[in-house]
Amino acid sequence: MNGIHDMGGMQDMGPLQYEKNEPVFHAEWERRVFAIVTATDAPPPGLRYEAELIPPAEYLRMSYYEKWLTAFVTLMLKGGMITSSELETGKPVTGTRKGKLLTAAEVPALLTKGEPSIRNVPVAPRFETGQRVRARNLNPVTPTRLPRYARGKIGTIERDHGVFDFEDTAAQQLGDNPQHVYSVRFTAGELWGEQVPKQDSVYVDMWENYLEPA
Amino acid sequence: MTTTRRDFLAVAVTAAGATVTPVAASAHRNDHDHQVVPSDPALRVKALESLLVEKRLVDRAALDALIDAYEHKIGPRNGARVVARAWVDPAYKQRLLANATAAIAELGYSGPEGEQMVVVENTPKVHNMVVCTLCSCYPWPVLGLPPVWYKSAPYRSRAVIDPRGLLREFGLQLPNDVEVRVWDSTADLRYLVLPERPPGTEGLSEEALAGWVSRDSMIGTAKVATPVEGGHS
Repeated sequence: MNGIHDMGGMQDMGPLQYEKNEPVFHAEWERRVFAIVTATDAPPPGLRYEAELIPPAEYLRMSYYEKWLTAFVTLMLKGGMITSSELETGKPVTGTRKGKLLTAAEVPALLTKGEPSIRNVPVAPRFETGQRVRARNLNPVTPTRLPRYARGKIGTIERDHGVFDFEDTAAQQLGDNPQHVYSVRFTAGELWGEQVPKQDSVYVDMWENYLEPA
Repeated sequence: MTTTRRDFLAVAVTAAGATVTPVAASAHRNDHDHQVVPSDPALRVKALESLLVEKRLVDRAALDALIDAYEHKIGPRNGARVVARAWVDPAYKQRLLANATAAIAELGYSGPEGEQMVVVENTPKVHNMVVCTLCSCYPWPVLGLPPVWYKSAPYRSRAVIDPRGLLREFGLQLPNDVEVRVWDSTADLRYLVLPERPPGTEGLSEEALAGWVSRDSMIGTAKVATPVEGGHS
């Protein structure tokens, strides 16, 4: 979706706000939000894409963990994991859910393994290192990781990262569609025109589906 | 709240067919029930956590363990050790640049948001800088959780269009003969910058070197301070 989250290239967001000796969390509730979200398998499309649906004015106003909280609650409501009356009363009405629950004993393993999305499946790459490619001009209203600033631009395949699940369809539960992900180099001039330093460049990681030969 | 993902997709697909007006799309947005919990985040989170615990969807001890890990164990000291090792051990540096995930795991660092790592090397003629324009992707196992500025609109928006201007705001002025490479973490790869080893550190141990490597130098928004110039920055 062409949303406010896709902000690469905007120029009116103000100066950098740098905090020296910044703590990991700024409030106890941020700690709890982080942990709750990390410990829970939220229903699709997942936190990232739900956060992208927060209306733009709210998205810009909210702090990072407010966005997490809002998106998480919305996902849990939409996924039927909790109900709004339960949120109001704080009392479960739909019964105690059975099944997967992250325990403290399982935390060390989670923190070691993570959740790799690279797939060990034989998929032939469509492009090779050094090849010129064009980022397709796609404007889906559904989740995508193809940033607007790169669409339609010509770049060079810098590196083949291997085969990964395709987030655009996986997030919508429309299939994992494993495919190669490439690091694509775009010159600053190609992206932003003649007034930027010619020697600079931006490298964007792109699923194969985002690319066509140029 | 009865809106399901399928409903969302139905709206989305219809909208893609341009048969739905923006009003319908925004009606869907308003469907997001943001007001059912108290507006103060602290109260909202307290109520949410109690409910999830009662429903056996989360375990309080697991939450405490996660918080403890990211506040006390997983942070930029990990990345600093990776960098210091690469500075003193050329074979390790080679492995790190060729297969960062495996080389970082050699030092015991792995896990969420670091499943697939890439390390990019700064040189006198190349300066690398990492951003996630779409959200907040960041290599947790080696740097911990990202600082607020990294997740903020000013950084995410300008890193790709004006990296040199942004770096000046960090206090770093790069000469024109240095090539700036910005890495936008748009997929599942996570990036760590291998900063240049500063002059005057030849006699330092690996451990002492790690003490000089700042978080920002591994994001690419700073250089590693030079000991001879005095003091940690």
